[in-house]
Amino acid sequence: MTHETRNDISDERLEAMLAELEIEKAPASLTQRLNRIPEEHRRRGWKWPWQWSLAPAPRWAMAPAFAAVPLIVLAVFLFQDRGPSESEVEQARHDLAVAFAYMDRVGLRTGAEIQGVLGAELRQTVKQPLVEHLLVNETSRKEETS
Amino acid sequence: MSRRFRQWVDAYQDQAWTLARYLLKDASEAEDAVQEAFVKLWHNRDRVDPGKIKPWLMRVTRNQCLDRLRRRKPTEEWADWQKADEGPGPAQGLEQQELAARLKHSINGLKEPYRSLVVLRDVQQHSYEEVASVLELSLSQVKVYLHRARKQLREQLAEVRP
Repeated sequence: MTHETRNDISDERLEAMLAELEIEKAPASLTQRLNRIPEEHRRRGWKWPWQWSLAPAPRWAMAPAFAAVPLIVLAVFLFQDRGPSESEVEQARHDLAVAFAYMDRVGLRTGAEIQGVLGAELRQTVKQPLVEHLLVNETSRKEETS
Repeated sequence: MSRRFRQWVDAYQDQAWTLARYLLKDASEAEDAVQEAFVKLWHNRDRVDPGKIKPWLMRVTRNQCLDRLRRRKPTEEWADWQKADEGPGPAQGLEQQELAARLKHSINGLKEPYRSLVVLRDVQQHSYEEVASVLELSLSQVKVYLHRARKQLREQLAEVRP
């Protein structure tokens, strides 16, 4: 039994054969599925009004935008023209009165301590040289009279 | 916008379907893959260059098919292929039908990207530039790979007669 190998398909013949292979028609079920896509995905892709403005932004723009949010909030908080309320003023007055009263008492006590320490020192400073002077004078007078 | 989308469906569904059928050899899976590709087209309709819808869609369809093939078990590979040849074809002689069936079988024996290349270029008659865009290959790569693919096809079609 002999086998004969035939390998005589030219490029042109092959291309012609391939071109003759028909493009299959998509089944009707697929066409229906494809035509339903806009309706199904529009409904599923519904967004809240605040998402409308964010939706078309590219992803790279979202990170800086989100990072800027706390900065904006902080800036608004710091720079807003906001006067103190009445209760806040009253509280501040009370705190200030307490602080002054404390400072007054501390001042008096410190003054008394300074007076006590410096008074003794000053007395000693004046008394010591005077006593020494008097003692010297008394000694010299005794020597002169003797 | 949905009217434009329907125009795209009418224009490209058959080509996407044929590519998916050749790659997946399973009708229901091919339907799913084509549907997923068109869903992506719907979501990206404002970003895709209107002049390049077809290559974009074919690329996404092919990627969908390849993802499915990767997930598939090896034994499923040839499951549905014979059904493709049983459907009513154009008015052809019996010998031509047999040849066409054998050719389809041979195309399906090709590995990627040869199979996609043959389907896109030789069966669907896309331009070389479109094929290069779909497969993300250079023009010279397309030509070289296509030459190899055709050579493999010729070898497979070579008939051994008793």
